[in-house]
Amino acid sequence: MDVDPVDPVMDRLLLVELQARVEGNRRRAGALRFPLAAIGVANVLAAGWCLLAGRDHLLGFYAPVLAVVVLASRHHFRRLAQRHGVLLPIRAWVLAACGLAVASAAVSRLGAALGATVLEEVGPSLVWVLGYHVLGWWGHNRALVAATVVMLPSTAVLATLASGDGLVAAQLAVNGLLVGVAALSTAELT
Amino acid sequence: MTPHPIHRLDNAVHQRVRLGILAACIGVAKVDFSYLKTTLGLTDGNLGQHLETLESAGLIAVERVPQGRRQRTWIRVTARGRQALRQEIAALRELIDGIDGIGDG
Repeated sequence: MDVDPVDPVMDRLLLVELQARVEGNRRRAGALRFPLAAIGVANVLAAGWCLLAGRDHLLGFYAPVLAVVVLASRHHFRRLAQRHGVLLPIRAWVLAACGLAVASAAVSRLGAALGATVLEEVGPSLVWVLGYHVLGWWGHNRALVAATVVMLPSTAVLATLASGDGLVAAQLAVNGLLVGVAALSTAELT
Repeated sequence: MTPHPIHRLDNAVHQRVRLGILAACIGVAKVDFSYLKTTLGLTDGNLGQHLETLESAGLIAVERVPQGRRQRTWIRVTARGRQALRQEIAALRELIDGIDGIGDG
């Protein structure tokens, strides 16, 4: 059935239907339970690595771990696609995660170069919080947005309790746990 | 003088089922034939015809993957298809705004 382009009722219905479908797919693409859980676990592991090797070596930890997260998520999404007939995209959030890892390392180095300890120790965490927040808004993931709102005061509290590698590790552990909790509240593709 | 938005409606796209197919493929990597059939409430033949039209216009890419004894058909929207859907939505919005403007006096 062709649509009469000057039928205002049909045009309006068509537009509403199209927008609903596009919005529905946005929600589907935001059903990132598995990758979020994996990133949460990676952050908790990164906290241990930070205490062992120091915060200057975190990028060397994240590079292979993010690769594992990406490969595992791709495998998981392919399995879901076999069942549901919809393959979720991963390219956008993979690029975002890589960008955030590099940006957080750059902020840390900048803080060290400027002698700004707060920027060096708290800046990278805030970069990730911003990234999670944007991802949460994009995917209509309220749990993730709420988690980022909790991350800000928790970072401030931790900054008063610890410093150096201990502070960075504590932020990674707390943020990792919060992302993990958000993942549990995030829908899986159905 | 700006051309009327009706002239920006593409015949390959401006059809309810084909628009539904494009919209169902937007934002995800790819969808399979059965998913589209169920989501849009179509028969195999009807969906197949519309897929052919969209594929020949370069708006979607169709991939047939052997799965056991059968083939599974996956559909992915192309960059041209995404652009066409964006233009369609923009043209529809303009049409509706124009009509609303007449109603407002």
